[in-house]
Amino acid sequence: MKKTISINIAGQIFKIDEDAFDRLKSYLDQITASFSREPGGEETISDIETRIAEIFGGGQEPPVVVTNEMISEMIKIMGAPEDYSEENASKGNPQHVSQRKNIYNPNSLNARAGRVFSTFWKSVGGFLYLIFRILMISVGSALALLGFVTLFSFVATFFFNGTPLVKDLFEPDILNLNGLLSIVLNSASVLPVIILTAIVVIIPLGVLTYLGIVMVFNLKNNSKIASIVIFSVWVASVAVLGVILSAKLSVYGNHKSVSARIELKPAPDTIYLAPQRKLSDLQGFEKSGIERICFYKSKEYSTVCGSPEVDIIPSDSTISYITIEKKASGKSDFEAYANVRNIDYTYRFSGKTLYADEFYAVRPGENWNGSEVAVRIYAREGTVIKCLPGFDPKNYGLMSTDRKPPVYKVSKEGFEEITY
Amino acid sequence: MNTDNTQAQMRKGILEYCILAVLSRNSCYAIDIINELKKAQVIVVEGTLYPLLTRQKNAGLLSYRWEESPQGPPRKYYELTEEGKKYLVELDSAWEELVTSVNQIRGR
Repeated sequence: MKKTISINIAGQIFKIDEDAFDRLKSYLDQITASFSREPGGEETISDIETRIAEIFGGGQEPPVVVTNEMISEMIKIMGAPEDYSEENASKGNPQHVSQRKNIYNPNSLNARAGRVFSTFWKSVGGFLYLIFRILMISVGSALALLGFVTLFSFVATFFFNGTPLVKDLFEPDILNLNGLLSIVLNSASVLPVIILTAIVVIIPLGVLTYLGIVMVFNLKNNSKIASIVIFSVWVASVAVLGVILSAKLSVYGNHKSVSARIELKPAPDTIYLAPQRKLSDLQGFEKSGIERICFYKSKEYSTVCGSPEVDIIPSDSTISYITIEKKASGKSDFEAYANVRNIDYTYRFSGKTLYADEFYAVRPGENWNGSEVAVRIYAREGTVIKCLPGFDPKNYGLMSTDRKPPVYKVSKEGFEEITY
Repeated sequence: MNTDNTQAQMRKGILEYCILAVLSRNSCYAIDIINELKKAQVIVVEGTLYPLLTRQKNAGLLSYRWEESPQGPPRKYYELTEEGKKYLVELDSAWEELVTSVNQIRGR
């Protein structure tokens, strides 16, 4: 035999099957959620409950036993919760479901206890709602601030980098974003990638900011279609960007390097650094880069050039030597090695002087393929390294003060710039 | 193209007008209004009516009084207020214009 419990609907007592009770409670909770925040919503709910009690045949002795079939019949007459009003159904707020008190089980609480509990729950509910709102405002403010600041930073660095005001505000210092992308992508892909990246980043940040504002001001969001459209655009952008980048970035799958070594015998007390081919030779090249890593691209010949890196390292033996390492990537090891061989970088050591180009170039017509050139000077402790006039250490990634030409001295830990 | 949605929208648009029209004859219990609307096939489920009655009452178009029921709790009997009556006259006029316009477009 099914277990029944007693309930009160609109002031009338009914018996109800346990499984039917859950269904009825769910139905009434949805109605309450739909109308509780509407002006006069409590009255609407009360009218609906009165009508439901009437449909169930309330007011009889002994009380009517409400079954699942009766609930189905009632829903057929009254309509499903979403039928009550399209507008109200979309404004449902589940947080009010727990505040519902019209339905209860007198077997567990007598009427007086119920009223006391009801009053108590109203106070507690109000207090909890206050806490909830404070929490929402705090979290919403944090989200809105985070979203806005990040969005502003992204837009500033992505679109306005290099402008006088923004230039000194943000790190890293990106120079000529279009040019930088054209180093790794073909020219036709640059604009679509910029647009897609902007969509992929701006939409979530914008949504984050909007959600924060909604939470702070307790706004209602009814624009489901707009949300679906925005989400669809974002997913499509992510997919297209992913396809483009994965196709382009597969070039960097395999990384290889080749080194050359120049022994300095006998180890000189002083090593001079002099430029060979200079950046000023790159006429008509456009500069781009992040921080000190710079690239130069000729539109006319479609040649990409990059800056080499020179480092001074204390030698752990009595000898001094120089290594020149060329690195490049490719879709396969073979291609990576081919790209290494195709790096155009010249140098020579003559007497006590290292002559090294200020730039290297990849094969004309190709994008940057992960190529790098590193020149490492391994010198005994105490060795003096002098930059000859025309050798600008900044173009080789070497630290220096404004004093020209700089002079370095190799120490145990590394090297330091010295003054004569 | 499915006409169900269009028909539903049309019914929804005239529902409030129909409620006022029903109440213009005499004061009614909610079930009486529902029966009238169901008979005219303007409403399908009863639940739609209650929020509209509350809204119209809050707008000052309707008022209600309690009357004892032979069984169960007392019932609300709704009736038009003076404001509701004026509002209905305006809606009657608007409806006439609308019907004329639509008929004109349909060539009748």
